[in-house]
Amino acid sequence: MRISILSNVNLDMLDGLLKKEHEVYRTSGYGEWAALALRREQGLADFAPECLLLLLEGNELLKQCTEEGDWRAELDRTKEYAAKLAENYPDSFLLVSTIDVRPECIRGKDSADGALAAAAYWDGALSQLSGRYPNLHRFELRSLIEEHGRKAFYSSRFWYLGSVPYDMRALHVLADEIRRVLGKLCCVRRKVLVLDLDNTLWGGVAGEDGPEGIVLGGDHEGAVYQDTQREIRRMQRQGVLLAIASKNNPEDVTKIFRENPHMVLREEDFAAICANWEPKHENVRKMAEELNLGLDAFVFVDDNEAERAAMRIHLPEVAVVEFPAETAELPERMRRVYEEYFWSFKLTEEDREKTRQYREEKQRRDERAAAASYEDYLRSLETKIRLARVTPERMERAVQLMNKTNQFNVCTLRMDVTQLNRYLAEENGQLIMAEVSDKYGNSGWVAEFLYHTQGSAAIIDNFLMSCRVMGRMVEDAVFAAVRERLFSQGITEIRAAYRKTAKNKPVERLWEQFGFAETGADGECRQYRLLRGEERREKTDGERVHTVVWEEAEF
Amino acid sequence: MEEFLKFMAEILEMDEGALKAGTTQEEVETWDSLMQLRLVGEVEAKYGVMIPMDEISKLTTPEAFYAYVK
Repeated sequence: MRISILSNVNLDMLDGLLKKEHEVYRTSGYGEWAALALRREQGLADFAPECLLLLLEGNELLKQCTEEGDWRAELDRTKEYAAKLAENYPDSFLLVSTIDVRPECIRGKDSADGALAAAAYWDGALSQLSGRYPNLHRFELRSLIEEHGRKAFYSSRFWYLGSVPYDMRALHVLADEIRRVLGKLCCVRRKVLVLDLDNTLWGGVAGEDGPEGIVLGGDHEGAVYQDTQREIRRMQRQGVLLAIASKNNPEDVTKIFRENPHMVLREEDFAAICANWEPKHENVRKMAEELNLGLDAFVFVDDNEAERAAMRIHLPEVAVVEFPAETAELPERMRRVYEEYFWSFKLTEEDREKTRQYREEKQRRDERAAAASYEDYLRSLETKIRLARVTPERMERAVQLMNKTNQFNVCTLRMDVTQLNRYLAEENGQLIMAEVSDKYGNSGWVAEFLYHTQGSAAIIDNFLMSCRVMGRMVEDAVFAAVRERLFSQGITEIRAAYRKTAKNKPVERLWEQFGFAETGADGECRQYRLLRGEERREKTDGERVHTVVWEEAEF
Repeated sequence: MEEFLKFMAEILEMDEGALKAGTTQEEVETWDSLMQLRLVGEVEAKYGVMIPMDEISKLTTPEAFYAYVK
């Protein structure tokens, strides 16, 4: 990653520690971060850092302050600089540190209170900043210092020798933490946590011990399993989908869920429960199909080494968690699992609603099996599609969807907020979003259509849709509506492309299905064209059945 | 000494073998004042020693550092 570290003290040494893995741009001097923030510096701008890290040394920042009014003013000023930094480098992911303030830094009789208050005041400022700037996030410097202790972290020798506040070991700790956070910035989030039951969510065996006999709740091991369940429930609340893969009779499992009073997790917390005697990898494979997810979205937890080994062999894409030898470590391990596989910088409302929506999707599928014809099935869903242009409020969701959709994504064009803004403002681009709801609920904004016009031609830059609404011909209805609008606006030709990736095979023939003619191919990319008057006359089920409304009568 | 040279060379981002016991600070491009501080820190951390502040500026060769280690 291309990164640059800014600070009010000398942390240039971090550059050396990080440059093996990352490309680091060294800024002019540690005193000058504010100047760099206030106006866009050409060298740094040309370097185009993917991540800017602002590490603030609290004691140095507040060294002139003697009274509460002073430090508040200083921190308010610092906040303004950080805001400017976010505005002047909008293409960069910006991490701003929390601050640690030692009591002796603030003079007066209640200096300890003052130090804590100042650090907390800055926390508040950071919350406001990250609320205002989607590209700005918090870097937990104070937690790191607290964890290792101030005595180990600060070095007065390094300070006097080179304005370096931290000890060499601490600098390594800091570099490790930066590496870890940067790693998370690049990594792809997984979506489903698949759990074993016996000796994983409780002690003992469901089929033998029963709801009364399993170890759960109370003290010792029972408390460990209960805390483990609490950690897992917290993940679920944060948007992780839960599933069970357990070798048990389903009725034994249901009994425990319903009759054991210490169960923290409920049946409805799980998007899928597979309690049977099939091999677990078969169950996971089925879940992937049912939930419309790739196997690389799954994380597997099981106390049995043989089960873990089988999973690794049969489904290498699934992440298998090392199970702790000491049961007491289990809750902490679950916290780490969340950090490692599921954590993301920002959760949207859509994330939290996900479990509910996946459950609804399952109900829809069950209904599909029962419905007589596909068209009847589609009709029975009572799908409503709302089409609208992107607005500032929808921006965050638009970018999130654009960047995490892999399967139904014809060109896999990734953009951040800034790039999207530029596309809309300077490249004459349009982004149409589709909100899909049906009788089971609202799936939210789940499809996006990007295009720009060139004379009487419209060029589709991308068309993507969440896998949550795949397989219902929503795309047919969305495309038909956009096509009609374009043709009614005087467009006579629509151009499109398919750019092959490892995952977007489902839409390989999409444009053909929509009646486009292939006009050329080049490597992994094929071009298509649809002329007005040559569109397919016969409507598909999706076009016929789904109700589509535009937010604006015209634009 | 050989192992120590390897350790220093890695920090100085030099090829193994390019750094000799008597190589001086001026001869090594990456060895500026900040690097000097890093060398002090890394040597102290690895070998559990403490180099007094007023000695630091005199340590201009690997040999001089090594005197604190052995």
